[in-house]
Amino acid sequence: MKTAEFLNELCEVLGRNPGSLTREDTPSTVTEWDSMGHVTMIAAIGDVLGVSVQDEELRNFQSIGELVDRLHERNVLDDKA
Amino acid sequence: MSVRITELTDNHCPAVKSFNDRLRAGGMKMQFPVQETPSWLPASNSSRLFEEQYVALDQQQEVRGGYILKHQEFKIGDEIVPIGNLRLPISEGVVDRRYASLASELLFDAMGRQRLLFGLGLGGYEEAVTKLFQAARWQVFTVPFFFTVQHPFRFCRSIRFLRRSLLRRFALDVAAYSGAAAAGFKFLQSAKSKSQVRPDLRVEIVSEFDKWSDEVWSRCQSQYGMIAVRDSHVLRLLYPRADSRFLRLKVFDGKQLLGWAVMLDTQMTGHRQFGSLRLGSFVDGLAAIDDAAVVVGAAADHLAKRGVDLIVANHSHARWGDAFRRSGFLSGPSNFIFAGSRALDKLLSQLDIEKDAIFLTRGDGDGPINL
Repeated sequence: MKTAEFLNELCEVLGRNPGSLTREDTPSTVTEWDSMGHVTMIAAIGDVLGVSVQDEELRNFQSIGELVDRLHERNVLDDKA
Repeated sequence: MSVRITELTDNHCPAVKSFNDRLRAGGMKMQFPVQETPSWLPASNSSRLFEEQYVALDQQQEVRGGYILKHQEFKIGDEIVPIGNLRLPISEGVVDRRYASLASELLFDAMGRQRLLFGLGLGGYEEAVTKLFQAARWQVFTVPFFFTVQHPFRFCRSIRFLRRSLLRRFALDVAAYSGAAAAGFKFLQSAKSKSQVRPDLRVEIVSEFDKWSDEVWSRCQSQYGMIAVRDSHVLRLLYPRADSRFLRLKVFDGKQLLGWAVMLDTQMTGHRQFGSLRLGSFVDGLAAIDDAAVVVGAAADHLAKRGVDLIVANHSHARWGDAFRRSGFLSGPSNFIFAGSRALDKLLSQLDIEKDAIFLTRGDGDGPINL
């Protein structure tokens, strides 16, 4: 899955318009990204990409860019953002 | 915030007490157990039904949260599968926002120990734990609630959760004193089906589950898509002989054992929902689907003869729901919620097990703790 597609999946689970998440986004710029939104995103990462949500480092991301970088490190996204 | 989640030991108990004190100071009633060995279902070598208690420790070794994992075997499809029931979980995030993310860490830690996981009870959709499960995209549904009023006058005068406003109290008092409540409930609860009337019906109260319950389990288990193992070993742990509160009823048609029920008969005092009612509870029961209404009816009759004011039950299985309605029970709003992990949901989907075929009662999850 390409990064843009993955970000659109995150947009969908957060109830946001497609394309509205960028690398720069953080909990302070995304209103839906509260503690429950964070759980929703982690669950979606497991569902969409098939990666283990037991990966603690993967769960503790503070920005979309940080998450995307960690997913690239694990080779679960097909491209570089 | 960095925490380490580990099994509770005696060394952690002072920190658990401090954690509970902070919760209480923040207005939370919920508390974490303060003993290494679970008071309910401690682990033993001979049982696959047991509980474990986990706490989240910060770098100063302070307890900031915890959860209980109840391990239990379920029959799912044709297989016996170990499943986890996630109880509580509770974090300091409920009273201190600095720990807001801890609840999710507790959840994912539990999922790491047991992928096939569920929560039950939960208290309603507005509760934080329900929202947490929903956020994790678990399958969430309401387990239906059934009730039958035996003493309408006392019900109307005592049912606290309906008597919340002056207008409602006035209306309920009018219904009680005018006899309208008695007539109304008699009409509404008159749906008892003729199919459940068995001339040779016989019941027997017993003090313990024994081999006879293995026979019921063997005969009936295949009729249910997902059901906790209910053989005599498990039932003796869940409803131990030493606990005299449990009423264990065997139901016969002539000489044939149809099934069993476990009930409670509790005099409430100042209960937030039931006030001072004498509450009868259908906690658990098992029979072939076609005999469910007979067992429900027999249990309700037994509780009615004991003098309870109100009988309540929760049951997720659709055909048992029909059985309650055919036995004169009414459906009411339920805050008894089931939440199943994605892995459990996937397993059920693979086996084409619909939620209507899942068998859950008040005896499942954390048991009949509030009844």
